[in-house]
Amino acid sequence: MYNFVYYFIYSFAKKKNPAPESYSAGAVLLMIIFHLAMIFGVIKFYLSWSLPNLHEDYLPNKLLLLPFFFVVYWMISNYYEKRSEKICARYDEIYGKKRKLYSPKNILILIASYIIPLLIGIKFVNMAV
Amino acid sequence: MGCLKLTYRNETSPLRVSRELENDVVNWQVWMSKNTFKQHKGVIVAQNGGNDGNLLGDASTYLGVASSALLLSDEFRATSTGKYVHVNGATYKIGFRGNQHLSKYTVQASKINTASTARFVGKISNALVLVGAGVTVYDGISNGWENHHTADLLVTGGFYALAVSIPVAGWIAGGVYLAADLTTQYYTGKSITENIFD
Repeated sequence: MYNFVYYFIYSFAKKKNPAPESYSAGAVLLMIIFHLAMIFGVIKFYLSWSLPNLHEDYLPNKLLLLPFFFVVYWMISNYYEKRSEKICARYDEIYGKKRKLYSPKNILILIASYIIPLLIGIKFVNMAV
Repeated sequence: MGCLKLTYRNETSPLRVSRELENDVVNWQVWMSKNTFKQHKGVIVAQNGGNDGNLLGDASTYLGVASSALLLSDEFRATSTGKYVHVNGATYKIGFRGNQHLSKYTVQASKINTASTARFVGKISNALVLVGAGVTVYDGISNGWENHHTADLLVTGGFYALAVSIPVAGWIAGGVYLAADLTTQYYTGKSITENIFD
């Protein structure tokens, strides 16, 4: 799933962007964040356990979290940079000639895999509050 | 697929095909000396009728005969039609007006430098956008999801899509929004979206 997202965004970005592998790795990270949000939302609802708040105010909280997310982004980016060629070669075989990558079905699956986990996560978080 | 033997001006193997890929795409190396070589990628454009071992053209133009096939590199194809191969693998026109006053090597070098700078800026801006989205989701999960979190994610998604399709515009818009958001938070204690939606 994540590899497919990587390939999808990479194929789109490489025509227009100087750093397509960075953007596609970023899209994967965003999806991972949304999926984790769903998991933590469910945990919060059932176990009443929430992620710790580093600071009461929004801005300092944001600034304190920045380094953590930078490290995560760097790790994901490095992981995919090393595997980019392999992933693209694998999906080039599938979508190279016969099948269409930007089909309505694929676009719908991609959007749904971002939106649905996030909506489930939000629903559970709001029910837990 | 193994190595195909090549000769250049009757000397054995200054060109070596390292491996063959599918769809007639070939990687090969032009050996400048015993220890240095330049890697090239190209296609087999014509069969040579079994004229093994003869090189067509000069090695510097990256033309060669691999067993019975004529090799033509992406770079050669691009430069022969007034284009260049970008570091991202795509081929672009050389539309730089001052080209006639510079050697082609200077132009190539400047394009590589520009490309690497653009890649660096792209990576940093991308990291900032994603980190912002991550922080928004974290805040929403830990403090309860509110309208401004959704608005933040929509804005982030918009900038991300813009940066992917029109890089420079996306970087500028994202940078300006980030600065405005931080300034608003510093003075009012709330982000732009918090002020508008909550």
